[in-house]
Amino acid sequence: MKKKVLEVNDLRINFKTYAGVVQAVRGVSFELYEGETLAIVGESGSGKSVTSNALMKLIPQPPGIYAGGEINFNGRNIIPLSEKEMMQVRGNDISMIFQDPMTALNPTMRIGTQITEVLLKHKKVTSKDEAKKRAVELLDQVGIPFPEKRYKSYPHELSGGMRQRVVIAIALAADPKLLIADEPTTALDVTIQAQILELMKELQKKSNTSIIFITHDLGVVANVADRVAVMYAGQIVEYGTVEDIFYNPQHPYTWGLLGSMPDLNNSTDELLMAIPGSPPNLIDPPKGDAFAPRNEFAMKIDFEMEPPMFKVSDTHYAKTWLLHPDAPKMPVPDAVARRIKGYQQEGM
Amino acid sequence: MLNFIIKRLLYIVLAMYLIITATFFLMQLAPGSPFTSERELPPAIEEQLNAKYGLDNPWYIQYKDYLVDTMTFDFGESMKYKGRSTNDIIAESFPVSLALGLQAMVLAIGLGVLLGVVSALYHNRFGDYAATIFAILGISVPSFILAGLLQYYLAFEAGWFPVSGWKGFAYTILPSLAIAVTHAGFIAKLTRSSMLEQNNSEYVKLARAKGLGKWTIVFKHSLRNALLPVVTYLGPLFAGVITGSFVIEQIFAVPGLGRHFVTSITNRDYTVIMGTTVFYSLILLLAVLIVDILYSVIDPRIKLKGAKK
Amino acid sequence: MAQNEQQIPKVSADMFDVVGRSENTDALSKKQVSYWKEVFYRFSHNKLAVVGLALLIIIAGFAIFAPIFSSYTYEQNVGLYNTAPSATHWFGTDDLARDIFVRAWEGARISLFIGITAAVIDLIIGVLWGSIAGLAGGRVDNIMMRIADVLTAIPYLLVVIILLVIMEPGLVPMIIALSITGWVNMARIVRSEVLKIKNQEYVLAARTLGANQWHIIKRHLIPNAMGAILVTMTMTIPSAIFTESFLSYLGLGVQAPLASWGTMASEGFKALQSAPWRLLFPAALISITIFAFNAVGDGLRDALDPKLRK
Repeated sequence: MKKKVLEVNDLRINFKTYAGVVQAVRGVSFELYEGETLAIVGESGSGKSVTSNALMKLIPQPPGIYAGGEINFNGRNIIPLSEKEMMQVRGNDISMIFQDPMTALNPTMRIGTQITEVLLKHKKVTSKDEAKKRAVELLDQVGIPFPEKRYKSYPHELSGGMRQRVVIAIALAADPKLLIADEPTTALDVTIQAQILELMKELQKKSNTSIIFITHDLGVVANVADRVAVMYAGQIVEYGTVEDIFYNPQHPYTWGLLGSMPDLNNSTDELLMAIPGSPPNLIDPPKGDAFAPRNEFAMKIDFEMEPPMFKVSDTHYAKTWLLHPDAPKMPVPDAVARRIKGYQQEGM
Repeated sequence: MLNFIIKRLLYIVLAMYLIITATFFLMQLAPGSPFTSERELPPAIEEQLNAKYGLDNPWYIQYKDYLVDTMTFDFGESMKYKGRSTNDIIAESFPVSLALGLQAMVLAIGLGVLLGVVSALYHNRFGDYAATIFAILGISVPSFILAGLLQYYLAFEAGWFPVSGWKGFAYTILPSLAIAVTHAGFIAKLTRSSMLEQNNSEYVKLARAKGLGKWTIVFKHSLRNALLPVVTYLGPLFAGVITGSFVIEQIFAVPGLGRHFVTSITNRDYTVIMGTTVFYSLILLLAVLIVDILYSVIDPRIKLKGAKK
Repeated sequence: MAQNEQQIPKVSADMFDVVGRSENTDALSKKQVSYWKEVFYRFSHNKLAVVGLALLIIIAGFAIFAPIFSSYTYEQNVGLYNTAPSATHWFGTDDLARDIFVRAWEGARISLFIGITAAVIDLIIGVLWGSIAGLAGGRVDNIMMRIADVLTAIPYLLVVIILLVIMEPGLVPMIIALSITGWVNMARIVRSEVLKIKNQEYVLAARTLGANQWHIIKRHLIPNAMGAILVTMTMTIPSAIFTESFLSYLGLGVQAPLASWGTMASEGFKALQSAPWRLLFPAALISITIFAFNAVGDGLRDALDPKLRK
């Protein structure tokens, strides 16, 4: 049985703002095991970034508030930890890579130094020379040519893809057990994107790191994830393995996401399935299912009561009234069904 | 880099030409002549004086003469103090002003950056309020008023400092302080907002994600990036220190160029006015050039292009 | 994770009727707080800015009403020479036996008038220059900005002093001298706002709909640039007041019997030992006014900063 690295229980995070209290994360729960990749998918405002920042307690505390729940890393709840204790964890046990490598690196500091910083801080090396050696090794591992020369470069001297590799090197320097990747490829060209994803998978295999991969791109999910959590309006609405989600999606929002991806296999003249409207205001979250107003399969109950998380299988859960035994059986929309068939044929 | 410097020097020459010309014509327009404040001169003598200074020539001849003289750095003789050449006056008094100015700049930058960093680190807490109020007070009280108060209360009444003169280090403290305080205030505000901006940047977030502590982040990461805008203020700082010197030197009886400049204005001593104006302008233009070069040295991202912008 | 033993909630049958989407899906976007309301909110929570604004209102009030209601005029000889502040003369009297309180508020009128007029002139010239340069673009823009650059290269104060030497000091020359180089800053800011907006899509859209230049300026440029312009103006005024007092100290200020804070301060200097209140009151008023404008200007700038929006 694989070791459980991370367990999040009923996490709630609020933000105090001028307009009121925003409930950004409303009871999120999930688990992560050693060596596996969990993808968190959702549109902007779904709470995925807030969740990932919360895992390292990087949410600025005013205006952010940890309003409830636990984050258990290796069996220890990190929410009550002091800032000093968290500093031991960050970069060391848990590390993070960001979306935009241009702004994530300090423009006036050489990239070599930005790597050795981590090594020296967390005492992974015993001398500055050893740190430099290790940093050059890391640069090599992430695929940067001429690493000894590049050690002295400044960020603006590297291309976008190279910079992101440096960011990955920094994140992996201290051999963390958990890597949080917040949309690491969104800002990159598609070809570079593929390279970076390959790199990450390779490195993960070598070090058995667990990865949480935040993205809004289902194509990337199919490529890297073992399990998937679909988030909407601050909650996880569907949760399962990659096969569960792509072959047997249960939540209408997941259908919407799948249906809005371009489908190269079935060329019909049909329009892409678009979900009209936008996510709800989280200052005053609706009392029922948050997705109901945009859901063409919404039922009366969806506007009255929030659905519980229904179990579909041991690995697969979805938070929709459609899974209630008394609910009408909704067939998966045609557009989605076609895509599922396509995936199965391709042997995704 | 060399390209850049050359282009800028050309630009400076052009600007100087315009300044010299403008100054010349302004002086022409000025009412009165340097001799009117004296008692009535017999017309013959006045004519002689005018001829000596070329004041009776048509304006374009005066202009040509003036340009030629300026090119050779000959700023002529003071009209008021016969026998004293403007160049001598400048050569004698500028070093004093320079010393005063540099001291004021060091004070302004040191004090300003310190206050700015403190207020950014204790953002929205007591340290921030105290430092910000200090900075705003510094900006609000005009330097000459501050000078007068410092002189009266700290030197005259309390006797901690000499009242006026320029005979040793102790004499430099109050004058440079008076000049520096206002600029320290500006720099403090600039540093503060720049530091706060850095706090919201992605690389600081990454630094936190690495597990680095607050102070490490401030001194090793934010500070260097935050000081970049402050470097751009160095130009105006230099200019401000020069103009500050005009009045401060008067109040503290410091024998600097500023004091001479002001006196020459009151005396309508045109040669000195023009000479000093040209001199100051040149210094300022060169100072801005130096600041720009400095900026490119400090910020590795800047590659100075051949064109100015 | 989720409940493994689920108590499946009891739900009445009719609740499962399919209802579909809400009609107005787009209306459910975030509660829009209006831009200016949010600006106002942020400003009013900035303690320093509010204090500054209050001070300005108080000073303006006194400047307007004090000379009207005072029992003395600013040049009246009240018979008491160089007396310290007292119940009848709140700010004391000066060496020509004039009531300083009244003079201070007359001086306020003059100093504020100078500062505001100079700022307004800068505004007009700056806005025109900046928007023409920005909108025209190309060579015209280039030339106009080069001229502006050269003007800034010339030390501001030198120009001002020299101008005053030529024009013989007084109220109008003072205002002219102060406005002459100040507009450059405003022009730069307006131009950068224009450039920002010029390339925005909604201007392109307006253009394709046939709107002409003036319309664009009115409807789009001005509301967006207004913030930056306002902040610049609140910073120009204290700078003008400062420079005016500085020049007055050099003897280049308004002439007697008119008095501005600057001239009063410079006279007060001479009597610092015997009658310190003659310097202290105008000096305090200058400092407080500059402080207040700066506080308000900073507050405005922070309130208008789009980066600070939620």
